[in-house]
Amino acid sequence: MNHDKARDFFSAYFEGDLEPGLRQSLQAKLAADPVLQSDYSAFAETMGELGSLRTEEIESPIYLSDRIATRIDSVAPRKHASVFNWRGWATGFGLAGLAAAAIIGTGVSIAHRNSEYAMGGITPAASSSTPVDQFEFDTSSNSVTVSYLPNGAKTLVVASGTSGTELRRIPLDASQVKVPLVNKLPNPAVFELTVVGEPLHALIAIPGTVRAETKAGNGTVKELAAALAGYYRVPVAVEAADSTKAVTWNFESADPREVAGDALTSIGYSADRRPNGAPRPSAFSPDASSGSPPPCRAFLADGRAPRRRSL
Amino acid sequence: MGDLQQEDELLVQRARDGDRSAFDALVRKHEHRAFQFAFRLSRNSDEAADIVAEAFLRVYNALGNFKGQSTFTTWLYRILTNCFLDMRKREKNKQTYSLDEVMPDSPGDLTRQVEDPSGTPQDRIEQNERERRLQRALRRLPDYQRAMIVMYHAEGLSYEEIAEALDLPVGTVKSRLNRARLSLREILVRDEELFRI
Repeated sequence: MNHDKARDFFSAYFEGDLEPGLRQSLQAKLAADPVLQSDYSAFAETMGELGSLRTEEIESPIYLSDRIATRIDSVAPRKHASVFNWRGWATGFGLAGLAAAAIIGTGVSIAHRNSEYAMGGITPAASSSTPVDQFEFDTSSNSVTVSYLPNGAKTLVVASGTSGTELRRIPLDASQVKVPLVNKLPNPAVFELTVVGEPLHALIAIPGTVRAETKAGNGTVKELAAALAGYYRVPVAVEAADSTKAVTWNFESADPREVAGDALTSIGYSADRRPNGAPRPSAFSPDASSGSPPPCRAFLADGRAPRRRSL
Repeated sequence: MGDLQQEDELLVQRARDGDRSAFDALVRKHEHRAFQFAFRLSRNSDEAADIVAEAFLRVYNALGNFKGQSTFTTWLYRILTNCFLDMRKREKNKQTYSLDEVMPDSPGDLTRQVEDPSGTPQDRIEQNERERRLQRALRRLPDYQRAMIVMYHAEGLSYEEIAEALDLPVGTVKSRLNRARLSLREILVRDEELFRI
């Protein structure tokens, strides 16, 4: 066995995988050849160092999911937008006098407009594709547009979620409206949508121009939505009977839906993903053991992961 | 067959039948591990994300070809490795100059010293000088050898899994991996001598 041939067996020898005859030959060679012995020592040291590779912590970047989705969408576009049926949901939980919330990561970038802090306006829809009494969050045109089609004469109120200041009051007569929302401020903006006479309202948190750095915090569900939007730079829609419930969050995960789920679960909410906007029936069914609905439920849209523009 | 593997196969089956949510679930399940592997190969977050995105696109387009003879994970490793090697090939064809390459005009094969970009959390984690040396040395290995080293030592794949992923006999994997380790050792020794001067 010459020097080069002996080196060919280093890995197998190191791993104890060398057949007995070859092992004995190599051992004899190592004992007789100090250079080879030194080579093998260095090799063994390298094997030890390679062990450290496994301990390296690698965090996936926040934009990874979005980049993958963008590539897949280029060959197989999605066929649906997230739609949340809050009438059915209200029936399930609102009437029981219980709080409920839904957080929907819409996953689009916001096109900033010239206004400092504004709604883009109200657009009467030419044709109605929005189901009756459902909010639809349209994220396909570089803005968050909330569409709403009431089942009768109602009034939609849009207010600042932070100050409570009423921004718009929109009388509706069973025709669909579209409300584009934009935010040009550095911090996330929260809009609050209420239908007068209805128990529920929706909050839309839209990221500002600057990414928030705070990874952990506590506050209300509304503040969680703003924090999610600020940190992950993704618009967040919250449909809640009570958005003042206290929650704690930690943005360690790269997936805001996961974070939202964790935060809400911690206060007794349960979370589910909605692949096509329709709530899963199992998520609405009462707790089998008690026969009554659980205290709160949250639904996370299974849409595209958020796009974060400025890292 | 393990539960996770079975779950993968079910998801692949559903995705193949046109269920996009099943494919999304598959992506969610594997994207982090895929990124880890791609990052370990490229040492660049942006490049690694591109590799992963391209790999999942190839997976999507080739779902019909996946017969379940290997695990989905092994198949994904294979595609990721191909994407990485293809990307490197394209870069070489562009004749760009890599700052990590050996400068041929320097006496005794000097490596150009490049400021550590430290732009990613991963870079900051690599504070240990020994690990830095190891990473530098790995970067100087041929791409194919580096992929094998990463698969075995960082990803924890067995020789058999690597053989499946690279479509090579197990014996070939073992001998090539041995050569890769020896090459790595030589680079490290050279590196050490250089710093001692």
